[in-house]
Amino acid sequence: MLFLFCSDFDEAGPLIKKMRLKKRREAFAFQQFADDRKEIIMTISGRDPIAVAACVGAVLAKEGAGCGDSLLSIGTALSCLGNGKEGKLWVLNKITDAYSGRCFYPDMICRSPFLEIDAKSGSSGRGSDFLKRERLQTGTVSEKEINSMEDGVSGLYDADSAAVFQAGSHFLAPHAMSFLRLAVESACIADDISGLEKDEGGAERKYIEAQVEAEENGRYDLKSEGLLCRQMLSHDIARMMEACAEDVLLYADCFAKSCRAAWPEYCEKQGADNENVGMTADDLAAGLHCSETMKSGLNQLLRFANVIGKDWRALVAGYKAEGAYPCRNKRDGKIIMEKLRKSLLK
Amino acid sequence: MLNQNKETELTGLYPRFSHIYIEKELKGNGEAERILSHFPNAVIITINHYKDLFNRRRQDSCLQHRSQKLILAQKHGRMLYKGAPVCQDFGNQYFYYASCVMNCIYDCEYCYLKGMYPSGNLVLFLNNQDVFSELRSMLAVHPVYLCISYDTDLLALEGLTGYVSEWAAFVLHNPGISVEIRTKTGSSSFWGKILERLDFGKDKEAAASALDRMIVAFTLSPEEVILRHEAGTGSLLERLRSIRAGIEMGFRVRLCFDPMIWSPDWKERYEGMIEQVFEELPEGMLHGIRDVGIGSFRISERYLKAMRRVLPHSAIVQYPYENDGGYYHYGRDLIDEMEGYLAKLVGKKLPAEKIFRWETIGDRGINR
Ligand code: SF4
Repeated sequence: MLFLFCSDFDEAGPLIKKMRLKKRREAFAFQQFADDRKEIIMTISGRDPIAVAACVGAVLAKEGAGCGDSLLSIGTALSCLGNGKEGKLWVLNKITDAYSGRCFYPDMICRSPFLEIDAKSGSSGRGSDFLKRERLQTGTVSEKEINSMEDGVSGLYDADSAAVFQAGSHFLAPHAMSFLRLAVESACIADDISGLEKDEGGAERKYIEAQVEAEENGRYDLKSEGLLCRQMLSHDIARMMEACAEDVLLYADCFAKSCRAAWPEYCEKQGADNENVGMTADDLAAGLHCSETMKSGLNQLLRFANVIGKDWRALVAGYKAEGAYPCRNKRDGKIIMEKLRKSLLK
Repeated sequence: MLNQNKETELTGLYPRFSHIYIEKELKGNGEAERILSHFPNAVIITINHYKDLFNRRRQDSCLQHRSQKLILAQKHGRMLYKGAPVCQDFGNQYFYYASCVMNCIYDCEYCYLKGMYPSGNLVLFLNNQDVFSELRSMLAVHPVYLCISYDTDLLALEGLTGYVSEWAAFVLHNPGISVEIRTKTGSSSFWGKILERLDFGKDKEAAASALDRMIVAFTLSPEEVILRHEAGTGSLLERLRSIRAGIEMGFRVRLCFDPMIWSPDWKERYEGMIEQVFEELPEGMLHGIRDVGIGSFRISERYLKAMRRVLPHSAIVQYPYENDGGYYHYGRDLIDEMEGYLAKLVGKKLPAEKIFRWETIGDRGINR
């Protein structure tokens, strides 16, 4: 299963359309879309990290996520890159929680067509301060610099990647989580847009006013920035997402395939009785009167037989024909087990 | 034995060392810069501490190994460890090991590192000087026999690190130390580099002594085992040619037939291997064989349990071993049969005192 998470519909819309995902009708705390084959689930998580973590945890737990599954978080992030880097998709190779300073590293195993970058993740006005600081420090940065940025000179700031990673890592391996971020000049951290003027010009005006005010106060309030610029940007975000939807789909497909391909061995049910044909290991153990210790030894023996392609059932059928199986007691069971062991290890 | 290890089709993976993680303290460090210069296209990611990356939960070390990343780090705390029940100590009392690298670029199916480390990525510690200084203090008290290629194959990385050559220089100036470098490399180029560092032009006697204390130990396996279970390593012929080159340059090489791997036709395989060994190393070269170690596959319970989870299709890993005090091994009779048979074959060419069997050294060995 591929689990997609987006913060809002602006980000998710173009992908939902391209992937022909349908809205899930069943009652759930978060809005979800899925494909017909139930191999892809897109969830709209909201943007606040706590809500996002709750969402990721709830979805992965509900769906029983585990080996072979993959998580792709897609969203926007504030950019401090300059130099025309905005409007492009980036894959995150390092996520720093802006509050705790803890760093998270998604494994970079599956090739992507996107450039890589690190991000800080948090949901307060600190993001804006951070960006200002970073801009001052970095100015315009080259591609090479972006790929090898000094610690603390991150390229992007988003609200939720650290939350997604932390919640996701309770279910999935670090190679099975990937983070795509569309770098935007000013993204929106707050979801609440009530009371905003509807026309773009008005939003822009308020945005500029807020910036001027913030400069004057020596303070840069991301919340008001977010509120104001959201309306202005939502249209742009949807448009930008649409532009890169094809690439995202290709990557998502390749990423999900890699995760599936990596795990078939691990995913297969362990144990000697993983083939549902004829006698199982449990049946045999019962017929041999195995103790728990004997049973675990028998299981390992049968597992080995399966691996090397030896037919232990045929051997047991032989003992049956001789009248030696099922055994009368544990003592006889031990003798037959030893016989079986010798035959299989020949 | 059939190798049923499924080769899963994994297209679109990044190549080895596509990404290099570097501890922030090492930014600008000369040695780090030198290593990085080998990988001009790698993405460099700064980290606080290698454990933040290496010790993450739920990693798939086998998958990571297929797209292995390099982590440049500094080692803190103790640099040298007492040789635990881990490999043959060849009768040396002060037997220690140093871990300058964690993990290996080779991918032996039976390698205990798969069960020991949570990650398949390779950690390179750059502060060798700290190891040397701890070692100097130890050497002031007693001689030391040190395994330096322990949780890795150091010679496989020599082109990148030059560590073995550094060790050669250290050995030259510190008469109390003997260093063992275990390898499965097929390369021969490192021998000359070691000789260079021993600097025979200056003090022949000191250089000759150092040469004798640089113990390169080749693990030898039948070609079928190499092909099926020792991915990335040198072929038997390449290893033997390298050994030959070393002997011709004056080194005394250790041969390790360890781990011996059981298969229904193990006898033929090992017999064929021994024939090839002594064809490549004929009578006139046997003086260059320092000694021979023989041991069948054995591994700690903890590592095997972890490996059984991640390698359910590996016949070596899933073999129903016997458990003895926390160590898994073949049944006693089989051990005797396998090791005894090989010892007999080797004994036809080399004196008995040169042949060490795992069990003659003590019931504590483990192999790699
Ligand atoms: S057994 Fe040795 S050579 Fe093989 S992968 Fe492990 S450390 Fe490397």
